[in-house]
Amino acid sequence: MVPVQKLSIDYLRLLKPLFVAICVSCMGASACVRAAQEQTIGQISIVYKHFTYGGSSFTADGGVTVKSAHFNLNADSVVLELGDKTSTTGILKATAEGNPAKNLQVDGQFERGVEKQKQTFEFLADHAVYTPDPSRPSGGTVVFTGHVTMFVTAPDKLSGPSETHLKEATVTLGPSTDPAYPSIEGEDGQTVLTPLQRESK
Amino acid sequence: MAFGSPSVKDHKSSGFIKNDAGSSGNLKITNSDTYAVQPDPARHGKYLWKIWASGFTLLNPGTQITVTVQKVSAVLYQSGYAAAQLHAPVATYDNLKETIAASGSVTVRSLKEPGTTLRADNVVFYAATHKIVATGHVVYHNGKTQMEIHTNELVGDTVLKTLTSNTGGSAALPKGF
Repeated sequence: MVPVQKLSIDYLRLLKPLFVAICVSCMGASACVRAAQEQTIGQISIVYKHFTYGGSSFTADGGVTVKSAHFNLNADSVVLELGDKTSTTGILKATAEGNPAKNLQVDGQFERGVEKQKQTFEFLADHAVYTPDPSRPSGGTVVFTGHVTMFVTAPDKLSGPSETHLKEATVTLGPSTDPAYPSIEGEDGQTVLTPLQRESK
Repeated sequence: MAFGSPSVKDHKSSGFIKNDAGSSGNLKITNSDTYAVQPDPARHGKYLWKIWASGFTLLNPGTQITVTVQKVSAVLYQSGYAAAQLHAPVATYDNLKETIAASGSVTVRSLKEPGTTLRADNVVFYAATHKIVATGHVVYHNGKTQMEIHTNELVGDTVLKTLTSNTGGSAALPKGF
């Protein structure tokens, strides 16, 4: 006969982590809601040659310029999937395409920092996809794919723009006042840069 | 498809004035209670449009009927239901073109898409195809997405849900991200 061990369950001990988890979840959810409410509402302007607008999809083509406080983008065509009044973001997703027949790539420009420490990032790519991240203030990512070239200027660090060829580049957007944004991540890259020569005393 | 003549109704005078297609002569009505309706030939008891105006000038040289109206308020129909409301200082109905051409400071408000409006110098409503063509200082505002579009010419359906433009322009999303 197999001895049966007496089982004793410490419910309080079990419930404690559950209680903590619930509290953390609530705090997290509250923070998410707060972040969404604190989200910077930045206007986006679009200059186009031709557009079609049906339901919640806006397609502009024939040469499009998109401007916002966070970036400038030029493309042959842009498709915006738009949210409604209840959405926390005006754009649910944006896709920009170049035009190989015209030898035209998507051109995205971002800035980080201010004045002398200002860095500019310019991306040339065949495609770009923007996805907002409502959990962070002004949050979102732009993923560039297809023959990606990144130029970075940093007058206090580089003697000229660096040139990087990448398979894919991801730009993470955040508040323009936060020097950590935009942050850049790249895959399979090759960079050529010339650091600024400091005069030795 | 020929629509024939619209019916003009005048509450103050004879109550109902029907202008027979093919008859000659002009008709001018100046009465704030006057309105005209265009029955939808494809839908019995439905309309293509209704117009309320302060004054009607009806020209009927043969088969062509031209109705010019002032201080216009119209309901435009699409597939038998009221799709949009139009306001304009002046509008002209043409039975051969099957159009209502409104001019001045024209506003069109979608009755199916809340908050969606169109302003333009000129708006032509094509009753047969339920199409609206707006030209001159066109400003479109979408009540759902809050997108605002500025252009010189815009073609859309009567409910202002599907639009297209080839003349270039700009659009703004106030909500942005």
